[in-house]
Amino acid sequence: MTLTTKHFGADIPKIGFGTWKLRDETAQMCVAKAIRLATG
Amino acid sequence: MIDTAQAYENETHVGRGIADSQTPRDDLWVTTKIWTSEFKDGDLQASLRKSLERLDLDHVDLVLLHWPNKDVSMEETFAALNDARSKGMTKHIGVSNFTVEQMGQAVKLSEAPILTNQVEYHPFINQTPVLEAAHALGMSVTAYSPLAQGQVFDDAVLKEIGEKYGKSPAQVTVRWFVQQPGVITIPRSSSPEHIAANNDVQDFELTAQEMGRITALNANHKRLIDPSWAPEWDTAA
Ligand SMILES: NC(=O)c1ccc[n+]([C@@H]2O[C@H](COP(=O)([O-])OP(=O)(O)OC[C@H]3O[C@@H](n4cnc5c(N)ncnc54)[C@H](OP(=O)(O)O)[C@@H]3O)[C@@H](O)[C@H]2O)c1
Repeated sequence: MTLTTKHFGADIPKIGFGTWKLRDETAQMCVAKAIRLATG
Repeated sequence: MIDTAQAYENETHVGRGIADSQTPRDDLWVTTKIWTSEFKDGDLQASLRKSLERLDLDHVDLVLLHWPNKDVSMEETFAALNDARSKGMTKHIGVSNFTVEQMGQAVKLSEAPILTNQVEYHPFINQTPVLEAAHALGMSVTAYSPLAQGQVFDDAVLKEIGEKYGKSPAQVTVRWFVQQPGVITIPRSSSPEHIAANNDVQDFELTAQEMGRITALNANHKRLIDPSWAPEWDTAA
């Protein structure tokens, strides 16, 4: 289940994933992991 | 939801991670941010086009102005931002590091709604003025540096509450955000275990008293991100 908050008709996920300072393959791997966890 | 920015110089690899996840585009939320050097009409749209190329996406869900920039008029920047939206480059628009006064100006100047103000927010900073203004304007607040860049791990109150639920101080902090209406949080981690832990917060609920104890940790008001180009921040009464 994705928790969301609604503003102006948009359902925004309440938990996201920040990528500041993540570079190269680490950024790639962590983004894929974060998406799978949030949507899977 | 994935939060990146032109300034992070990682949009290409973020885009590859999005592709690797093999997740349908409609199930994803991707946010990027326009750097302040690109706030003029034409520059903003061209820079967002380049971000989309790096991300390998035909649109993002949300694009934010990364910091306010006094050198370019807000009228010009918000017209450009709305133009990018009307061209389909982003579904929604928002701001980051805006003061209460700037939030009000943004709402007045923008045709499309301002979905969020992304600001530093963790248990040790008092963001009451921004939270109240966002609520009054119908906007959300996105909490950046939500784990105070690691400082939550040593806090005695967060540790004690975590022990009760079998959760870490990071998980207690993420849960504290989840229970605040209209607040979004974007913890960062380079560790798959930590990423999983930060999403594993739906099997417990903080009591009103625990929520209050965590909020009270802001008594010393600690701001971690305050570069030379930052605006004159709002202070709580
Ligand atoms: N708009 C802006 O101006 C702005 C400014 C700053 C940040 N942001 C956004 O906000 C995001 C988050 O803020 P942030 O990157 O400053 O820091 P943060 O999320 O507050 O903290 C990140 C630190 O916490 C650690 N961590 C994360 N989860 C953990 C866990 N479960 N257990 C133990 N340690 C954990 C990470 O280490 P490990 O890697 O070892 O897990 C990392 O050192 C950024 O990535 C960026 O997307 C935006």
